Parts: sequence; structure tokens; C-alpha cells
Amino acid sequence: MSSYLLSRILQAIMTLIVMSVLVFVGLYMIGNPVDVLLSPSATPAERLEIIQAFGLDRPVWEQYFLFVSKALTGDLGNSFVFNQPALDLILQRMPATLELAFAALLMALVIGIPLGIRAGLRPDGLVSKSIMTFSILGFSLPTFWIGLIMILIFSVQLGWLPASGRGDTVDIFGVPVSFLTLNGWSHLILPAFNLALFKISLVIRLTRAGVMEVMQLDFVRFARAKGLTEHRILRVHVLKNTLIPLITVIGLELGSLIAFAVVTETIFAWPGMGKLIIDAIAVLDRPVILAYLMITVIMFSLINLLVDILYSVVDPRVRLEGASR
Amino acid sequence: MKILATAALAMSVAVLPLTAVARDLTVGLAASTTSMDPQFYVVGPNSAMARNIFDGLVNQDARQQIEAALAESWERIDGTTWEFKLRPDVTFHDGSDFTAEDVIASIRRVPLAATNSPSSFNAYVKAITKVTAVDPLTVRISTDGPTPLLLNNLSRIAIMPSEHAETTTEDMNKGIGVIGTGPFSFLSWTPGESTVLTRNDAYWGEKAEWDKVTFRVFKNSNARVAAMLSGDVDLIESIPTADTRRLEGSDGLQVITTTGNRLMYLHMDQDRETSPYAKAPDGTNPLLKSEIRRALSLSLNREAIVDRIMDGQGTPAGQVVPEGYFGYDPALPVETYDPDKAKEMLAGAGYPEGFSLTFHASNDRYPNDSRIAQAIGQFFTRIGVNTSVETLPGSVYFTRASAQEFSLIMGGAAVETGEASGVLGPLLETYGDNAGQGNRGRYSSAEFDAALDQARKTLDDDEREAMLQKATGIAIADMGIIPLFFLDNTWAMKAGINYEGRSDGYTLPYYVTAE
Repeated sequence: MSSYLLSRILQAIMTLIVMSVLVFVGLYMIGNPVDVLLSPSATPAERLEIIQAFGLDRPVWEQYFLFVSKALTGDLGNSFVFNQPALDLILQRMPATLELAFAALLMALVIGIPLGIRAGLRPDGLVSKSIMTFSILGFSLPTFWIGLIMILIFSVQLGWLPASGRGDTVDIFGVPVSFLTLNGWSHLILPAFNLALFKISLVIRLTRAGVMEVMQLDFVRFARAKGLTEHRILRVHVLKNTLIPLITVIGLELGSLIAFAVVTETIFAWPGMGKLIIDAIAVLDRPVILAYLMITVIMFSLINLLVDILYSVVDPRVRLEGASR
Repeated sequence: MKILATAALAMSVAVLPLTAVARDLTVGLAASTTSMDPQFYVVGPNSAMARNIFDGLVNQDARQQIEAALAESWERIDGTTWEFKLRPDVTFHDGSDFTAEDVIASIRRVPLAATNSPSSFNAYVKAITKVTAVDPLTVRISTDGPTPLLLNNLSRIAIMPSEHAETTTEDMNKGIGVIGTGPFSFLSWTPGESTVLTRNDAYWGEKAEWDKVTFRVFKNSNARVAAMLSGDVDLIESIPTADTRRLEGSDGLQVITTTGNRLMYLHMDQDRETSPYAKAPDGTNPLLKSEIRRALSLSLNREAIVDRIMDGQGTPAGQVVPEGYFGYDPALPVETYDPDKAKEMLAGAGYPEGFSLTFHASNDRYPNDSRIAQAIGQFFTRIGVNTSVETLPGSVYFTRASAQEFSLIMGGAAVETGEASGVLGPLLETYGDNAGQGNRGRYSSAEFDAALDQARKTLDDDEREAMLQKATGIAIADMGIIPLFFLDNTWAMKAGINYEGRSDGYTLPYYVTAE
């Protein structure tokens, strides 16, 4: 187990290095942040001064090593426009994004799995066909459009839910969360559903395919022959075997939910990390972009690791590499 | 009027205590304030937020003209010394008195706040050589030469308590020392999300109407409009042109529009024999000839661009500042659309067959910028200039434009000083170490430079305005830039709320009134 963990950590570090080099060189090639940030009335001499102050006049490899040596001490640099540590800016906004992502994930599972099972058990029924049509819509309609339509219907026309922002928050261990207040929920529900829609469809399709496949297998027939109730067959035998591919996909999707909730965050003015990164890219705020991507890589690595561990819990046949040696 | 309104409110409270109006205002902003330090970064959203909390010695009014603020009056003692009489009995939000020491400390703090700034306030104080207190309510400011724009520059410098002269930007971002004399005092700030202010009951002017103001940031314009339509906010700024009619047509909402101070213009490569994207049949750079530049200007139907693409939210421009601004020349008309004359001029300059041109513009920096660029490209093509249009994200575009990688580009310049030299200098002065930073076309005219330089040193307002008009006349006659139009500023708000709008686009709740 420990050698397995070690190799995973090394993998994550390699990914971090490669990613940071790519982003660094990429941003260097795109343009000079000073040309975007500087007031046009500044003189060329003032421009040069700022370029030097930010260290942008040095060769790119020198800038990179400076960044790495600082990063090793935990300092990812100050945002150019906020003049605050980039890491702080991101961590400040992380709870909002995590809350949104987990709420969306929960919706995807709670809505997606039952519907998927229903569609898998009686694939030819009218209900199943409606479920599948819904899932096609969920897949194919663009998130931003659905978001706007949801705002138009539920906020503008009906006036049931607020159109934007995060509701009242309560601190838990110093982390502000909004899912414990009614006002918080009223703000959370639309963006979370908007973000979840695609995942719901995905979960429905995966569950349905899994159920349909497993139902054909021999052990299900044996279980029936043994006289088990359909309910028990479903709960114990079918569901458990369907879960494995589902966990992989959901694990990866959770990462993308967190890292790329940006469209939903933009439409609903949700104060998460995604909005920060979009603003940062627009003005080439390199420290923020780098810090954000580093955190994303670390998060993906972590989630992958958790998924692998979960596997071995759900399916005892799966052994973590290196664990049994 | 104010007393009446208060009385009416008091009555309504007395009669219907349950439906009493909460005097809170929620504002939807288009861009986030990046720092609570008013002296950190010269950028619109920061300056606008600072105006709510801080005052300058003087402030800019809704049309960017100078008005008295913390200085009640001022006079010039000689060519380089100014004396300011400070307003008595003004207190900061922390209760301390405002005196001459605070002015000295605030001006001195500017270089400190410039640390790590992507665009600092140093430029506004660099002419100042000495600030002294004559008595607690009199300040003398000396400059290194005649500085007619001293008041405009001072209007940009927020006055803070002298105890906070050493407070860093980092501390202010944490909320430490965000103390001014303005109509609202600071309550909280979450970057990119919201800022909350409360009324300063000890304000030296008339008190603000709102107990509490919450600013929320909606970068996405659809989200901003949706928040307005659903009633989440009371007022929003910069409405996308396509949504204006919809908001105007909605019950219980109103839209206001004012001419803004941002000039949209074209820069043409004017100092290279061959240019990367403008090529005559013989390979030379046709944009060097002023007749050609004039022909391009004549080919543009500015009215149509404003009407069709901007949904009317703009004012065609024939010079660098809008009407009513210092340095505006009433004798300079907006170019009349005349494609036939443009063709004649092209032929007269030796290009009857036109030439080939690639026109570059940003696609995410100004309202409808890529659509405006497409329209301009079509107007050029109509007079025989074979034009293709390429639009790029601003983050890529500005670096390449500064490096002179393009031949003809579109830009937008805000008249931040409220008078013509604020645009003439950066866009048209001969490029050098201390001038012409934004002159990406490298227009250069000794005559123009001399006129502008003289204007900058002339203290007499009438003479100075005449010099600015002269400089503008020279640049426009040479077609150093092609002015297109001024962007309008727009706001939408609930019925019952009024805002007169500002040419600088700032949303200042102090001037928002309720009926």
C-alpha cells in the first residue's frame, strides 16, 4: 500500500512540473500582462519600470526557476491585480466551488441512479423511454443556455428563486458554508441543478447500461433460481456490480465539476474559483492562473487516488498495485 | 425637498409600519474592485469604489469637471505654488479630524502604494515637489513647473488619515485602514464577489440616502441583466446594447444613457515604409499618406455604426473629447460619410485599384468590438481597399499591438483627466521615453508636439484651451488617428430610483436617489 501511495505521489509531482512548464511558457508566449494592465496614459519609461518590478524582463527560464524556488517555500506569488497571495485568493473561494460541486454530484447520484435503474430494468417501457429522452436533452443542450432559461423561468417569470450569488453562510470550523441556511439553499439549488444536469444524464446512461448488462449474467439467473426476491437481487447483486464503472466515471467527473464549474459560476455569479480564473486569464494574471492549475492538478490526483481505494472496497477482487507483494 | 421626502417617509412609517421601505441599495457592477487601497491601481472599478469611501482635495463631477471637496477653495500664489484652504470640521470614519497633515501624508503615501502596482498613481504626483502645512487648514503644494492639470491630478488622489500613511496595500485589502471622509464607510469586501458599505452619518456634505449599500459583481452581462430582471439588485451598470430595449420595455424598470468619455478610434501605421498588413501594389505602406488616411475616414458611416451595431448607444466623434469637455473644438465637425470622395482621394493618391489591408481589433474589451471591426472592414472594402478583419482576445491583442505587429488597429481611450490633453498625449504625441505610450500608430508631428507641450505649461485656462484646440486641429487634419465615436454609458434601475449617470461610467450610490 505504501509503495503504491509513493508511486502515486511521484506521478502527481511529475504532472505538476510538466503542467507548470507548459503554462509558464504558454503564458509567456501569449503576451505581456503589462500591456493589458497599464493605464494608457503611462509613459514608456513607467512601463519599463513595472516590467522590471514584476521581473518580466528576465528570460523565461530564469522567471520559471524563480517561481519554482519560491513555490517550494509555499509562495506561489502575488496576484498582479489584487496584490494578494494568489493561493489565498483561490483558497478563499474554494469552499463556494466545492459546495456547488458536491451539491451537483449529490443531485446527479440521487436523481440519476434510480432513474437509470428504472430505465435499465424495463428498457422498452414508456417511462424508460421518457427518461432516456430527458438524458439526451441533458447531454446535448449547452449548460449556459439551460442556465439562462432556468433563470428566466424560476427567477424572472415565477420569482421563486434568486437569480444569482451565494446566500447567507454559516461558519463550520472557519469555513463558510451556505447549505445550512434556507436562504443558502434557495441560492444553491438553481446553479447546482444546472451544473448537475449533464452529470445526471451521464449517471442515468451508465447505470442503465450497467443494469442491463448485469441482469443478463448467470449469477442473476442463479439468484432467481435460488428464489431470491427481485428486490434483493437488485439491491445486493445488480447494483453492486453496476457501481464499479460508475465510481470511476463519477470520480473523474467530480474533478471536472470542481475545476470547470466556471460556466455555471459565471451565469449565476457564483463566487467560486472558476470566475477567478476567467478574470485572471483575461488580464494574464500569471500567479493566479498557475496557482489555480496547480491546485487543480493536485485535486485530480487526489480524487483518482480515492477512486482507486474505493474500488478495492467495493470489489474485493481488485488489489491495489504493490499492496499484495 | 429632502425634508419633504423625509417627512413623507416618516408618515408612511407611522401609518404602515410593516411596509416601511428598507433604505438599502443593492448594485450590480460589471467589474470587480481589485483592491481596497485607493492608491494602488489606476483602473476604473477601483477608482469608482474609492469615490464612495474617500474624497480628494477636489473631486470630478458627473461630467468630469473639477468641484470642491476636501479643499473649499484654492488659489495660485505663483506659477508653481498653489494654496488650498481645507474644509473645516471634517472627520474621518474613525472619528479623527481631517487636517493638513492628512493631505501631506496621503500624497506622500502614493509611492508606497505603488509597490507591486500594475499601473500606479505616481504619474499624478510626479510634478509635486513639496507639500507643506501653513496652518492646520491650509496646505501649499509646489510643483516642478507650471502644472495646469494639478487639480485634475489631485482629484485622483484619495485622502487618508495620516496615521495610515504607512499602511500597506495588503493590510488595506484585509480591511485595515480603509478609512476616508467619503459619504459611505467600509464594512466588508470579498474580492470578485461583493463590497458592503454603510452610510457615513458624519459626512461633511448632504448625507447619503442609503443606510447600507451592497455592490455585487456580475462580470457576465447576461447574468447582470437577469439579476436586474429578477429584482435581485436595484440598479445595474453597463447594459449590453442588445438588451437595452428589453429592459426599457419591462414594467417597473427604467434605463438611462449618458455620453461617455471613452473614444473609440483607429490607429494607422505611420512610420514604416513597409507595413506588415498594409500593402500597396508596389509593396509600400499606403497608410503613410494622409490623403489615404482621410479617404479611410470618409468611407465610414459613423451614424450607421452607432445606430445599427451599438443600438444607438454612442455618439459619432470628429475629435478626441466629447462636447462640453475642456479642449473641445466646436469648429471641428464629425466627418461626413462620402464614399465617392473617398474613392477619388484613393485614385488621386495613386491607388485607383486600392490596396490590401488586414485590420486588427480586440474582441472582448469594448462593447461589440468585433462587430464594429467587421462593419469598418466592409466600409473600407466598399471604396476599393481590399480589407480582411482579424479580431483577437485583448490579452493577445494589446501585446502584439504595442510591439507594432499590426498595420491598422482599433482602440478605445478614456478621457480620464476630463480634458483633451489626457487623450492627445498618450495617443498622438511623438513616441519616446516619456511620451506617446499608447501611440501605436507612431504619428509624429513637431507642430503638434509643440502645441501640446505649450498647452501643458499654460496656466491661463482660455489660452490653454485654445492651444489644445490647435493641437487637436493639427492631429485631425493629418489624420493622426481616425476618431470613430464615443461610447455611451448605460444604467438600468427599478422605477422609483434615479441616477443621473456619469461620463466616466462610475456608479456612485451617493448620487442615487429614491422618490
